[in-house]
Amino acid sequence: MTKSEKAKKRLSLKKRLKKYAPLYLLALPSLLYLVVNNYLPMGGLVLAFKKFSFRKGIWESPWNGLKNFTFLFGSKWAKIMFTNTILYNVVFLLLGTVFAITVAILLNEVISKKAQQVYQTIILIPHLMSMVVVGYLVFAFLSGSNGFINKSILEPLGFEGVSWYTEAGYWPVILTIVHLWKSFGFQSIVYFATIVGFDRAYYEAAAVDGASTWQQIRKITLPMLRPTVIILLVMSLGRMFASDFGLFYQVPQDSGMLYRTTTTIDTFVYRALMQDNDVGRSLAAGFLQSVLGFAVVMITNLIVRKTDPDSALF
Amino acid sequence: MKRRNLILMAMALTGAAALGTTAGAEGVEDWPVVTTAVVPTQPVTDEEMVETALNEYLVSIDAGIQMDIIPIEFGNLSTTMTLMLTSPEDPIDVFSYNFFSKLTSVVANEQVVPLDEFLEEYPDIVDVVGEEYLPLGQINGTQYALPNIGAYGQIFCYALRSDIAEAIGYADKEGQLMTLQEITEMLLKAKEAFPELAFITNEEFGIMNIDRLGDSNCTGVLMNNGIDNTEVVNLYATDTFKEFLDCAVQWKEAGLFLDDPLNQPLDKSYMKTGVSGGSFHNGFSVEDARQGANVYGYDWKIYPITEPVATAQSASGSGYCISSVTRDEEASKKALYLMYTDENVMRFLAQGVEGAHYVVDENGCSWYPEGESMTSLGWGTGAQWYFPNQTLCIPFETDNPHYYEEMLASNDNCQKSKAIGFAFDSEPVYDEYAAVTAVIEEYRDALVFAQVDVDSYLEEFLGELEAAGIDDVIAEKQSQLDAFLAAEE
Repeated sequence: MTKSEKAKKRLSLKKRLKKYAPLYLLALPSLLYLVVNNYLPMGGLVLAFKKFSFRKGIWESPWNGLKNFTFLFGSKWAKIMFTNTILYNVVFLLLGTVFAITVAILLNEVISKKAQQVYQTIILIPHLMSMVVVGYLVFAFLSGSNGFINKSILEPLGFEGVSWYTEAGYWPVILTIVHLWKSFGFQSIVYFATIVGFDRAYYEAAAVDGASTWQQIRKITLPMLRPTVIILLVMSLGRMFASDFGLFYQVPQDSGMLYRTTTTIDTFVYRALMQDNDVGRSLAAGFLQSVLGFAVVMITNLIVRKTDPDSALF
Repeated sequence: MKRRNLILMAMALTGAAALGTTAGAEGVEDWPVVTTAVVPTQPVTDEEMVETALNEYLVSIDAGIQMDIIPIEFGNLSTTMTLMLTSPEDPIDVFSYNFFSKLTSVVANEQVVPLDEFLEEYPDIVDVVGEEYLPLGQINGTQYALPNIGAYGQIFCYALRSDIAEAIGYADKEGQLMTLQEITEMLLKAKEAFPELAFITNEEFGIMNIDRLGDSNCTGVLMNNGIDNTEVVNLYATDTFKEFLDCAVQWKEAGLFLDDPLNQPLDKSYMKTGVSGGSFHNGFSVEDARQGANVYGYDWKIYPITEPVATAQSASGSGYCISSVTRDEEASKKALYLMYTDENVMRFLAQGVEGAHYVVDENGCSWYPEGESMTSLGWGTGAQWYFPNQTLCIPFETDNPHYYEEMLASNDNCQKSKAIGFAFDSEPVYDEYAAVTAVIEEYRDALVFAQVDVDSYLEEFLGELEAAGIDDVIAEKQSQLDAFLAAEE
């Protein structure tokens, strides 16, 4: 777009407003909602830097500098929770994406429409389950004295039962499996919806030219999926410093001996602040997560824009 | 507001004149309305009935205030309270921090007003609470709360089901003070006779004769209940804790614990479900402990492990405050005063309306009305201890009409920790405290239920505690305690 073109556009802003007025009107409620629900509360972030007094209220409370943040960095837990949060997110992101795309492509290759619908529904069920329920499903497998794995697999085979809830080492694997099991259905349906939207003409042309299914997937489906993958990746990178509280708190059942591998920023903050009603420190933790997440999104987007401008978010 | 007008109209038409308080009732509509909360565990459909009765009574004594009772569902307590305490338009004027916060927090958050003036205006409240227990509501010498009146002293004991006690020949030993080792021997016999039952389902650190100083994490405690010393020590590094763990290992080997103790809620509810044959328990006397245990169904025998002592831990826990966003502080003070001194006000709040929510027998004890139970009633009626002065209530679901007199007597008779009224403010060592707490949460349950090798993990635990800064926390606690004791004198 050249400069003059841009200028023209700017000049016609008034006209555009007039022309699209009904559409803007339609969008107004959602915009209002966005402002009220997502932007107004941001004013409260100022409390992350204050010592909040319920009597004095938000604006009168005294400033507290960065003191609300120090508890996050004061101990060995700082390193543990940051590495855990990031490493789990990276693993979930990579494995989750690969897994979801694979399933989406497989789904696409199912010919019977009925079977497709049945499979879609089945893989979506875990996504609809509450983490508390999932926590107990996992417990049914891993319980030390009555669990399926100890009682029905390990012991009949002559192995000794494992005390799963006191051995931190197993949990990165367990949590990854649980996460993938729970989330792959929804993700793959997002990809599947994209794949269904592809122009069938490409595939027909490829088939006429004698391309095998595998070749079609590699040369048509995957390249065409790329923008979607990148957008979803960049968006989930924004949650890089956040974690699924249910997964890390409910599934290990808050078992102390597992903290080394199950503590993420969220669970640490929850445990540290649960008893205090400390508004300032909770906000400080949330604020830090958001700022770091925002930075990661900006940086990734910058890289994407340099290498593949069409796929960039903005 | 609508409801209040209705009440007033009803009273104007019928009640007030009949009560002969026409003079006092004049201008009732201008009386300030004080809000307070009840925290029911079931839907309270009779809110209006109780409120009307209470307000009619307030008119009859010319109280100068009206009250609005706000039921807050237990599950939403924390959120609702926190919101109402920030809201000058819709405040909760008189409230208890029980179950959602603690005194140090509500004071640090400036959610409450100082009550020193209140004590001057209503001096007889000092005798009602008892001067020696007033510090329970103080922080740095300022009164911020009035403690709930109740039993400040406690014994810790083991409650064993009567049929088991009889089967193993311990029935006649009830009430005898036992050591932990003797309790262990008894439980081993019980387990032998009833192998399918669990016998230890909860954590009760009180059995170690310590004053936890109001900190359930025990990051620094007084040994021997703080009766004869004021030295704050690291419980986990003491011989007492080691001996306790040695018992725990025996319990584990004998299978006394619940299955998967780290994955279950650890409480006394298993007494009710028949999963456990007993539990660590407490009460202000053997009899009170037995009565408390009987709530779980079955009959119980009580084996005390500690003598009755009031510690900073057992005495603290709950108190009533006036919100810092109250619309009318004077009216709130009046309401607070009435809640501590007027038995009718207390009974409306804690028991409801006689006849509808409870009945009184010829002994002077109260019961559920015929055919009713906690869940069928329209008012929460069984939780008198939640309210400011339960001793004004009629003893409920018990045959002992002197229950509350005995409770008050126990406060005078029990031994007392030197630290009563002390509350630790973790703010100066917040970061260390958070780190230490995390370490305790990591190791303690696994050790206490002997789910790991106790010897090696105890050493690791102590090392981690030190690395997290437990010494700083203890030093801070000691200096706060010393300052508290100096101010007391």
